Amino acid sequence: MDGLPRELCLKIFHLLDHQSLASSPQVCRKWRALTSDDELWRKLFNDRWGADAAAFYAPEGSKSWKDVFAVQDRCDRYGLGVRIIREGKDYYLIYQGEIQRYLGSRQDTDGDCGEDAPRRDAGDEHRQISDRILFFLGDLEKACADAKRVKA
Amino acid sequence: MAEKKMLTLRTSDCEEFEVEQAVLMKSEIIRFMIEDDCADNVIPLPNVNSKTLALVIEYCNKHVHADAAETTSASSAGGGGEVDLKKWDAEFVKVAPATLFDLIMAANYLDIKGLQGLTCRAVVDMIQGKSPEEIRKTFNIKNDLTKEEEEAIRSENSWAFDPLPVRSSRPRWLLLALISIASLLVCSYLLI
Repeated sequence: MDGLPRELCLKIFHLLDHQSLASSPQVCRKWRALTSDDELWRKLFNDRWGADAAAFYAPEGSKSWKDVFAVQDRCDRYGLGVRIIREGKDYYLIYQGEIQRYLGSRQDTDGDCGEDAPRRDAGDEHRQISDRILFFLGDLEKACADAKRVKA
Repeated sequence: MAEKKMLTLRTSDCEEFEVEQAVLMKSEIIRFMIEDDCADNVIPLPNVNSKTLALVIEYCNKHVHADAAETTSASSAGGGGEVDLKKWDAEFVKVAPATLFDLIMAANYLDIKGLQGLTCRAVVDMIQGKSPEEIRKTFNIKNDLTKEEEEAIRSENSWAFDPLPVRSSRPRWLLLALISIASLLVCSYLLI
């Protein structure tokens, strides 16, 4: 695909679904640059939610259409309320599809259980417990979604 | 019977192809040249090689004759011709990626809408549903990303791979109960 000019590459990427577009940046640097094209994600947003929604949710400031697409996609999945969600190994607090706070990663809490692990003070330990509760809620949310998908 | 008007095309590697004018009308560029009376002599195509042009002509030939056949048999029932043409198209694009990219470039240069759509769709089918590693193998692409960059991209785009829209019908009280239990656990732990 190296020989193809940029506009023809984009013509091809325009036909991909959002999942393929999201995994394509891992192919190489050129594909990473091509798939971050704002017009690409604007068109994808338009196709999925319509021109009215695109006009209403148009990105402001430093936001890109890809960011707007991701937020709207989360809204579709989790609704507009406050949710604790898991994406990969990371946990987030979201509200109206927007990530409000990064809550940490599974690796952070699972990694230091050995005898050589540094001693933690009480505050640190309490935070660990609250983190685990939040992570549990995130896992619960995901498990329920998966179970519903299997049922359907 | 009227004599078919022929046109000569010269490729980048200096080969010449004599083709029916009607067949070349599939190309918007050549159609404009014909309509403006600019297509009397040899038409040079410096951006297309002979191997690719042969395929382009094959595509145009098939589609022009299929269109003609459809027009003449419009009165007869069934859309068998259309199904056959779709099958033919599917077979036509079963070529090496490099050839496919040459076809995309030629279709773009000659402005043949049908061929543009067909070839781009074929590339999309080669990408869709494949892992980055499989895509690299298909298109012979060298991975120039570091492990860290790959991991960063993966986590940056993890939102796209979550299960798709599921509206939670779980009662609110269940969530509240869970949060209450969690709070009680924390309180009891702090008291101990």
